[in-house]
Amino acid sequence: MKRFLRTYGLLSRLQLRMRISQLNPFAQQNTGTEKNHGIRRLIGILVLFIALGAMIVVIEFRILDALMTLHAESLILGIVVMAAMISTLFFGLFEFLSTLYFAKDTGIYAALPITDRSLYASRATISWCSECLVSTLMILPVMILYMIRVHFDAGLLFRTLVVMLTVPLIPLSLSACLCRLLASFSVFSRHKDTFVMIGSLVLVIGQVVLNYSLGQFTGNLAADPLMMVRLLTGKLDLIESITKAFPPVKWAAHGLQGNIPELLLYLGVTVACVILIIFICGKNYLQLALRSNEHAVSKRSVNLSRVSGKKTPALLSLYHREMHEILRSPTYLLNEIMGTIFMPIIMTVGMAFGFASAFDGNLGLALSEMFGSKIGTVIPAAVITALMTFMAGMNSVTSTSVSREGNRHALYKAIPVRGQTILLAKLLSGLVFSVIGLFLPVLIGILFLPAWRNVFLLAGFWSLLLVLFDSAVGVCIDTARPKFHWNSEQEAMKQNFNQVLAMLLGMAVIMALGFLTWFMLSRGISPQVYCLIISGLLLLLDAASLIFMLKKSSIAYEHIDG
Amino acid sequence: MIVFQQLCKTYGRGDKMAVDHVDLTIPSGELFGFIGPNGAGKTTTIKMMTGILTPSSGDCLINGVSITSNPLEAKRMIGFVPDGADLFDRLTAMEYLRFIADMYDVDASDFKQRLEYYLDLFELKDVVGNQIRTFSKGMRQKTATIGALIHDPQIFVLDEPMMGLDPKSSYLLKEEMKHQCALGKTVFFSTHVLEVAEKLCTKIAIIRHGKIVAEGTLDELRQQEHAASLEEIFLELTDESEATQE
Repeated sequence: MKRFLRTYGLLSRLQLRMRISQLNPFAQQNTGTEKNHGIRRLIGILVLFIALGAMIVVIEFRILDALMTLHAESLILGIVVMAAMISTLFFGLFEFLSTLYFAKDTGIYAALPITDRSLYASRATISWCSECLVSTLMILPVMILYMIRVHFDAGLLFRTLVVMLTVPLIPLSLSACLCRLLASFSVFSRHKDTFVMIGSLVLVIGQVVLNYSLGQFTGNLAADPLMMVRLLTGKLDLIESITKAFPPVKWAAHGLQGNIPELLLYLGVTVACVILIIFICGKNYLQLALRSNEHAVSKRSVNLSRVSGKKTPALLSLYHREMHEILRSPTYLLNEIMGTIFMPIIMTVGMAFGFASAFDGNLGLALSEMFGSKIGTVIPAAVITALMTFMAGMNSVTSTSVSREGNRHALYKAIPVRGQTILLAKLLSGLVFSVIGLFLPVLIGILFLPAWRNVFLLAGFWSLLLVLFDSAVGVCIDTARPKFHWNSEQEAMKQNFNQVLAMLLGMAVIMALGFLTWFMLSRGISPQVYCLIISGLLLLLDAASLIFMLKKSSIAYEHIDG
Repeated sequence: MIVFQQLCKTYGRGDKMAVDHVDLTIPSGELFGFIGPNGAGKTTTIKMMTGILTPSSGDCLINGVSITSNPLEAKRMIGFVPDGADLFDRLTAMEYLRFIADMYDVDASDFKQRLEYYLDLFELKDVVGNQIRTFSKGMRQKTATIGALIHDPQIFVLDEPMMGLDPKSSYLLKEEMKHQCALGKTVFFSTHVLEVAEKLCTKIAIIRHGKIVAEGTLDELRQQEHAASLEEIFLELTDESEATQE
C-alpha cells in the first residue's frame, strides 16, 4: 500500500505537470517568423471567455428567475448535477480509452518498477482532473447565482466544492468498466481499431438508450413539451422526477440542499466506486495497455500491375490523406462522430419524435402553444440553425488540422505544394463531417415534420454557411498556433487549446447573430428582409474567412518552423 | 549542385545562432558527407536546405534555384529522407508512396517502374499493403528512402540515413547513394557514423556550433590536420573548437 501510494503520487504529479503544459495556451506558439503576441492573445482570450461567461450567466439568471417565481429554485441543482454527470459519461469513454489504452508513452512506464494499479490510478486521476474542469464550468456559475439569489451559508459553499469535485467520479467509473471490457476484447482482434470504433459506438448508443429508457427526463421533455410546464407548476416532485433513474444525482442534489445523510451516502458510493474500479480494472492493466498498442506486420503485398495509372491532383491526394488519417484512427473518428454527427441526430430524432407525436407533426402549433404567439418560419429556423451550428462547431478536425501533423510536419514542408492547397485540403476534410452532421438532422427533420420542411431547409442553408466560416476560422487558428508535440491522438485533438478557441469563436458568432435577430425582429423588419440580411451577412463572413485563410494563413503555414 | 550562401538560423531573440554563416558549394555528382557532434546544426542546415525551415538570413541554391524565393521549384528537385522516419502512420506504405508521387507529379508509368525496382531492392514488396505504423524503424526508413527516390530527384538529401537499418539494408542504401552519384546527381547526407563517411564520401564538411570548421576531400582533411583517420580529424577539430570557445 505504501509503495502504491508513493508511486501513485509521483506518477500523478508527473502526468499532471505534462497535462498542464499541454493545456497551456501560451505554450502553443508559431515559432516561425511571426512575432510573439502573447499579451494581445491573453487579452483576446480573456475577453472572449468573459463575454461568453456573461452570456451563460445571463441565461442561467433568467432560468433561475423563472424557477423562483414558481418557488422551484431547487430544481436547478438537480438539473445541473445531472447535466454534468451525463456529459462526463459521454465524453469520459473517449478520454479513458485514449488516455488509458492508446497512449504512446505506455512503453516507457512499462519499463519502470511500478505496479499496474499505481499507473492506472494516476492516469485515471488525470482524466478525473480534466473532467472536473468541465463539471466546474457547468456547476460553478449556477451555484454562485444560487448562493447570491436564493440562499448562502458556509455549509453550502463547502458542499458545492465537494459535489463539484466528485461529480465526474461515478460516470467515469462506469466509463472505466466499459473501456476495460472493450480493450480486453479488442486485443484478440486483428483489426483492433475497427473493433474499438464499432464497440465504442455500440456503447455510446447503449448509454443513450439507457439514458432515455431509465432517466426518461430528456425523453419525456422531447416527447412531452408540456412536461416542463407541469414540472414548473409543481405537479411533480421536482428533483425526484428528474433523478429517480439515477439515485446518485438525487443524493448529490439533496446533499447540496443540506441533506447531510444523502450527501454522505453519495460520497460513500462514489469512493466505493473509485476503489473498486482501481482494484478491478487496474489488475494486469499494463499488459493490456501494451497489447492494445501492438501491431504485427503481416504479409500484405499489392499487385503492382493493378496499381492505378491515374495521377491524382495534389489537392485531392492531400484530402485523401487527411481523410485516411481520421477514418482509420478510433480517437479522431469517434470524437468527430460523437460531437458533429451523433449528437445532432439524437437531438433531432428526440425533438422530431416528440413534437410529431405530441402535435401530429404541426410544430408551428406546438411552438404557438409553448410561447403563446404565432410564429413564422424565421424564428424556428434561427433557433434550429443555432442548435445545429453549435453541435457542428464541436468539429475539431479543422481546428486541430495543423497540430495533428505532429512530427510529420517536416514531410508537409518538404513537398513541393503551396500552403494554400494544403490548408484547403484540411478545410475540405473537416467540412465533410460538418456537412454530414447538418444534412442528417435536416433530412430527419423534414421526414418527421413535413410541415416544417421550409424551416429545416432554411436552417440547413444558414448552418452550412456558418459551418464553412467556423471551419475556415478553425484552420486559421491552428495555423497561427499549432501544437506539434503530443503523446496520444486524444492529446492532439481534444487537449488542444485551438479547438476550444475555435468553438468559443463559433459560439460568439452564433450569439451575435442571435442578438441581431432579436434586434431586427423587435424593430418590425419583415421576415423576408431578415432572411436576406442574415444570408448576405453569412456569405460575407464566409468570403472574408476563406480569403484570410488562403491569403494570410497559407503564408503563415509556409513559415511555420516545426 | 547545391550552394549555401551565408546561411544562418537564429532562435530566440536572435542571440542563439544554430547555423552561423555557412558557405558551401557542392557540385553535381558529389557524394557529400555532413558530420558534426550532437546539436552542431546538421539537421537545422538540412531543414533549411529542403525548405522545412526558413533561414534567418542567407540562401541555399538548388541547381541555381533559390529555396527561399522559389521554394516549390527547388523542392521538386530534392528527394529528402528525414531523421527518425516519421511518416504518415495510418497510410499503408503503398498509399504513402502514391501520395508522394502525386505531390511530385510523377508520371504513372515511371511510378510503376520505379516502385517495382525499389520495392524489390529494399525487400518491401510483401508488406507494402500494411499500414506504416505496423513497420519497424528500419522498414520505415526504407519506405522513406523509396519515397525520396520515387520522383527521381536531382538532389538526394538524407538526414542520418543509416539509423535503424540492418547491415544488408545499410549496404543497399550505400550502393544506391553511389549509384545516384554515378548518374551525375548530388547526394548530401548527415551522419554520426564516421566509418560510413570515410568509406563513402567524395567530400566531407565538419560542422561545430553552427560553423563549418573543415571542408574538403578526405585526403585534403588529412593533410590539413596531420591525422590518419577521419575519427582523429573529427575529434581534433571538435576539441580544438571547444578549446577556442573556452
